[in-house]
Amino acid sequence: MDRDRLIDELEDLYRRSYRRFLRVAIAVVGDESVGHDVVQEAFARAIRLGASYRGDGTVEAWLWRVLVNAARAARQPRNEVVEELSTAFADVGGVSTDDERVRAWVAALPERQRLAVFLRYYADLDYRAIATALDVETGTVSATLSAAHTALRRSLEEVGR
Amino acid sequence: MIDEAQVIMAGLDRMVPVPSGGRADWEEVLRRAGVPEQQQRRRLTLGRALVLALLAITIVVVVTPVGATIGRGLGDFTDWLTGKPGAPAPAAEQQRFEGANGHSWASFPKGTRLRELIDTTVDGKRYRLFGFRSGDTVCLRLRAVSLGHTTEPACAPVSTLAHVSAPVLVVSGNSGFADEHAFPAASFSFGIVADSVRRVDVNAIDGTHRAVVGGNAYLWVQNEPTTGQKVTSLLVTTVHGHPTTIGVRSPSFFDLSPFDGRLSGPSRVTAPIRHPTVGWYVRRQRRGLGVDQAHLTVAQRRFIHATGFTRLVKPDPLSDVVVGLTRDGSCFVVVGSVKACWRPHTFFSQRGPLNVVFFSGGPNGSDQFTGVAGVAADGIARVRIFLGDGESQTAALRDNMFTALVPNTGSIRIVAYDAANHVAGIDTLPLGSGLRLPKKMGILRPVSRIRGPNGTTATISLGPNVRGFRCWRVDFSSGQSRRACRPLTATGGWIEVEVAQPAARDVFLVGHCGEKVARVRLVLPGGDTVTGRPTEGLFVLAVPRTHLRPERQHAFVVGLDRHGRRTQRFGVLFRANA
Repeated sequence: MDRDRLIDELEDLYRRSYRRFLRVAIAVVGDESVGHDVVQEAFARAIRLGASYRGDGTVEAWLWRVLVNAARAARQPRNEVVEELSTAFADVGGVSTDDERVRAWVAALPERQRLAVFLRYYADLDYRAIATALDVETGTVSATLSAAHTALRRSLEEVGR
Repeated sequence: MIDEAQVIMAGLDRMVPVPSGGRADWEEVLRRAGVPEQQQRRRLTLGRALVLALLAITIVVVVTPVGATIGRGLGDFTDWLTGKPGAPAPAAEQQRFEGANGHSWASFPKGTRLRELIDTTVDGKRYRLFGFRSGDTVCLRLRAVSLGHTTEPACAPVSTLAHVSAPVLVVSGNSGFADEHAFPAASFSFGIVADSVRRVDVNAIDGTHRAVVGGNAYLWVQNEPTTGQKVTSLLVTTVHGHPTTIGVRSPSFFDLSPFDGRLSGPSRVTAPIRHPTVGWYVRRQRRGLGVDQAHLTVAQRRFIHATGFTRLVKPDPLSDVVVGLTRDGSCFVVVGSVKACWRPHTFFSQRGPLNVVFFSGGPNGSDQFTGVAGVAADGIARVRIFLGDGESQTAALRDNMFTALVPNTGSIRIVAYDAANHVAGIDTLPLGSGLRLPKKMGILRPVSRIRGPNGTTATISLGPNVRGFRCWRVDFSSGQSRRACRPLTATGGWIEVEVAQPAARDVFLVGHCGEKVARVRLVLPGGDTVTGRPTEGLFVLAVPRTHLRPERQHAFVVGLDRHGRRTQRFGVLFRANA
């Protein structure tokens, strides 16, 4: 795909789906302002890396991968943000509501499972798109989400007893 | 069995609510990517064309829920979002605007740049529409040059503009100016349009009219309107010729409609605040400004009528809304608009850590958006408002007082979060009069028919009394139809005309009256009269042929009791179609 056409597609994607990208970015980095910066950077990076797009998947799925990487990069050097996020997710002593259980569940998930959950529920991506975004096989996504659901089900059932 | 997908979705929704798209900025992406400026400009032009094409495709489906979802983000309101619709206002207008703002702290900050959107003349009278963006608000104001009136800014939140799925955002659906005799001098409707919009037609009571489109806005004005004249919908045509119809909300007491939207957001308080209070105020600390420090107009000061310890706060420094606690904490005031009082030192009564008021007028000149303001107890770090259309927005919060502007979407849920993001309070409130129709109002059946002098007929249909409400409809043989539902609680000898409806070559007056009104008499210029009987409080009168003229006429409708005594009269303005 030539650069102009790629930028056209990216612009279309940006205008249609900015809020979906932003929501996932916020979920990963824990801050709206940083999330916006991540989205901007992801799209800019996609334009700069245009040549690396092989054209064997959709531009959107590829862009999600760029965004996930940008979000992880934005979060990693900021230990205080990670801690804050973990605290927010984990501070549920005396868990009493489904919301808090979901927070605790998300906090306890391994990173790949957590990202898969965000992409599934915040971005509404199908398994194949999630697989592209996370650079794994489609079957792995299925297993990852299944494991995540099992963990939550167990948590909910324990409380329900 | 637990449906974990549902639990996950609800929990995740609350963990990271759908954000606003207000910060989206594609140009910045291009700059970051190092796309040369010249290429950027070319790209933006092409990009806009692409968006327009997508908009055109989308418009045909925006009436469906799926279409609405697809449509989001496609509205090309970039010029408004960047604060640069239309052209810079002439220096004299900018100066006038700044002069008005300079009179009071309860106005937009210095440096707010006014943009000129439309300058038009209607039947010899000149109207100029201006707009501006200040922080998270976009506003329009209409100056009727010939009439010597200017509206207060009518504003909409940027968050609404960012997620609107239609190519037009109505900001003032139905407003007007009065003349020196308090007769309506002009009716108008205006709003924001996307780049792709080529034409806007307004569907009003008396027919369809073409609005002026320019500067990413539309404006429709009618001089000397008749009774009940209003815009009911817009027919919007894009550059690609695709039409779409957009309903205009009428927040009238009698235009009740059942609220069937579902409010999202938390429904349970997880971290209640046991003894809600406003500590700094109780301790008489001087947060915000005192009345003497705040630069206010005489009228605004009079409105506050400050006694005791009074402090004023501007939660959003870029807006024109100033709120405050006065009378030793027993009143909450939105400067220039509304005042709510309660027992001294009981800021929150039984309602939890929030005390909420709605406001319109004063700093809120829009009939499509409602101002929300209130007091939040110590410990509340964030106030978020969940709307009937599924969206949500964050209120500006400072020194325990908050403000927001929300679309009139039936009901809202206001949620207070503490610093740990736990839900500390929830208030679910209906907007407007609070009256809600039952969902099923029964079948409307024809009860009478009136014939006009030129042969047009009006058929009146009434529904049953359902829990104190009744719906009615009047169908005209010329094709128009008016309907509404209203509460039946009002009694007595009152009378009012809801609309003067031109129908083909006739004009009908549709109105309501109390139970004491046995007959209704139309008294026309020159002393001619027409008398009719109301049916279940609804009446329709046909204007006689000799008074069917294209010039506006003034008459009275008089209510008579069963002894023929006058109970009340109501002035009415009507004209026949040319």
